[in-house]
Amino acid sequence: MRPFLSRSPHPRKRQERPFLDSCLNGSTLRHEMSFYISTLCVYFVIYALGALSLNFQFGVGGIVNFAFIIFEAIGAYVAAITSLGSPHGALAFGQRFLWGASWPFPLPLVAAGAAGGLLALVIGPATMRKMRRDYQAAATLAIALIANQVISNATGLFNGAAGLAGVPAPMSNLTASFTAYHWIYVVWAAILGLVGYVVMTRLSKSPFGRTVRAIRDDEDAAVAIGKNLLRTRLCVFVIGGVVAGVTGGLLVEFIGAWGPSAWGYAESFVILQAVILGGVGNERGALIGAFLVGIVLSEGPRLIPAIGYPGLIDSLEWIVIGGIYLIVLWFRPQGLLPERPALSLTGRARRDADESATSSSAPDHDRSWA
Amino acid sequence: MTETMVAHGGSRQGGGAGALAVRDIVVTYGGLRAVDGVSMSFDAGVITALIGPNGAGKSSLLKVIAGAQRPAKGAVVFHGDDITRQSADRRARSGLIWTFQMARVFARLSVLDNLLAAEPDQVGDHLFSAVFARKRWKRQERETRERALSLLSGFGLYEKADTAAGLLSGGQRRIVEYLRAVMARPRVLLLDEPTVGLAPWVTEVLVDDLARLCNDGVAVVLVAHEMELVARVSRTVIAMANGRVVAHGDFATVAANAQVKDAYLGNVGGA
Repeated sequence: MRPFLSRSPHPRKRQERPFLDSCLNGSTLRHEMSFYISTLCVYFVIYALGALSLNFQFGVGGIVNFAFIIFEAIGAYVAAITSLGSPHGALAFGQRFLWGASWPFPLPLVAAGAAGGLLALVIGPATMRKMRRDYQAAATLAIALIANQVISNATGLFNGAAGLAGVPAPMSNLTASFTAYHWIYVVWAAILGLVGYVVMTRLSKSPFGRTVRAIRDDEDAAVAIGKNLLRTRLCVFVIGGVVAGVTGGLLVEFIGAWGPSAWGYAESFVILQAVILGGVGNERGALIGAFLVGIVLSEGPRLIPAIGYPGLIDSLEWIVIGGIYLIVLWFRPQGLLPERPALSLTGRARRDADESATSSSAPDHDRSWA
Repeated sequence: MTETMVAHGGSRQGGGAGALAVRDIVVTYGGLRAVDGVSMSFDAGVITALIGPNGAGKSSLLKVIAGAQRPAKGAVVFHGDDITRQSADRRARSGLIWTFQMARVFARLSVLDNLLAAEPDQVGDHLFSAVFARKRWKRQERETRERALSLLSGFGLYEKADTAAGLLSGGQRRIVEYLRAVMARPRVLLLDEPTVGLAPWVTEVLVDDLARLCNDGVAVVLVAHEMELVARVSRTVIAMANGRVVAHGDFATVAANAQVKDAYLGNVGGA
């Protein structure tokens, strides 16, 4: 997402600092800050949903998906063309794309999720049928590279390398104020984010999530107790695809534009890093990772005064992201919030179980594993 | 001649009423015939021991029965249905449960979750009910948890319920794997050397537990090397060597069989 955003109308704080410093008094600054914070909030939700989705695939399900960003991409494209109307219509501004409609809110977002899920359904069986994880990694990476090349060069699909712009903002009739609109969008994104978090957490902590984890830990042993590998994995992959598609739709409806430079293969690694940093297999960890990687690491450099040549700090940002990736993998591979092994026995349940166990059977001291 | 007769002894004894039968199973690895035309049957409520020197084909046969290995020839019949082409997970769901020669646990799941995962027909194991029918699956889960905890208590593993299974010792893993198989409500339970590396008291508990399963009508198939154990627990013993059945009957009969003695002595001589 990052490279594309730098070309978006969103102002670069670093470059504008002298100006801001000179007029620290007025409402302009408040306006700017409100705009900036609301934008960050939306980005956080998008990163968080992305991290939750990838965490479900990779952390819980053990599925290596280096093509994660293409699910977000197809969601964004589909949301764009289902909002832009006919390619010959007024909104299209001569942009070329396959097909278009102008569906009312929130249908483009539903279509985005469906598109992500469908893509997962197509790609999933090819990459998950008895494929070792290193091959899975290679296969998904190759798919991501091919997809980006195809979309960039087949200009009739989604306007090629130039991408789609001018995607109408949903709910924009609610308010005339640009700032207020941003906050309305934040609320909408937060609702989606909350729903996503609750659903993902419930799934992950349910018997279904346990089955998914069991398959991750040992495929053969899971089969031996009757688990259907391919079906379960495909479910996980498709759920991840749906959520990724929705995040793409949410993003494109916010920034209004989407193109191949926004979804280079490296973007998958940024989200993967959020998962790994936060804690593989832990939903709260995914949120923290999304905050640290998506917000702190991406926005932090903007607060650093410009040094060296223009663009140096942008480049350093990628180096820092890569460096932290390596440091985490080396020193704390389980992430900041590690996965907890006990899914089913916490708090009260544990105490109740203890009581019933001690009352029903006296401890047998002969049975000691020490 | 003797060999052919013995080889078909299983089906004669079972008379087709057995819970599980295999017919003329052949397994080849490259040019090697690991299992060479084996037929036998296992009855419900009986512990059948499968003995024989290393490389006799016992584990390969178990894999064929469990569906982890396709036989080159032959058929597997489970409660009257030919399941030779059925997938391993389908077989497990219909009650044909197998444990591995090297104990395999879900390392990052807690011990309790290892057991709970095996409970068949869980409401919460379906995508939609996992999210939308939480009350229903939680009710079921409470009962399942009771069962799992009482099984763990029996083996002195209650305290380990919350521990990640990957942190257990080898013997504990073996028990967790065994209990996971029990949780799966087996009708036929295939155990590949379940007592290797176990402390004597654990073996005792395991033997008691196997007897309990038998009373419940489970057909237990036990691959084992400890003859003392085999003599104690199993009503029927089948001896294999070089991919064939060499003897079949109660322990005394099989132990007295010249071919069995040869097979074991040959193995000792070879090693």
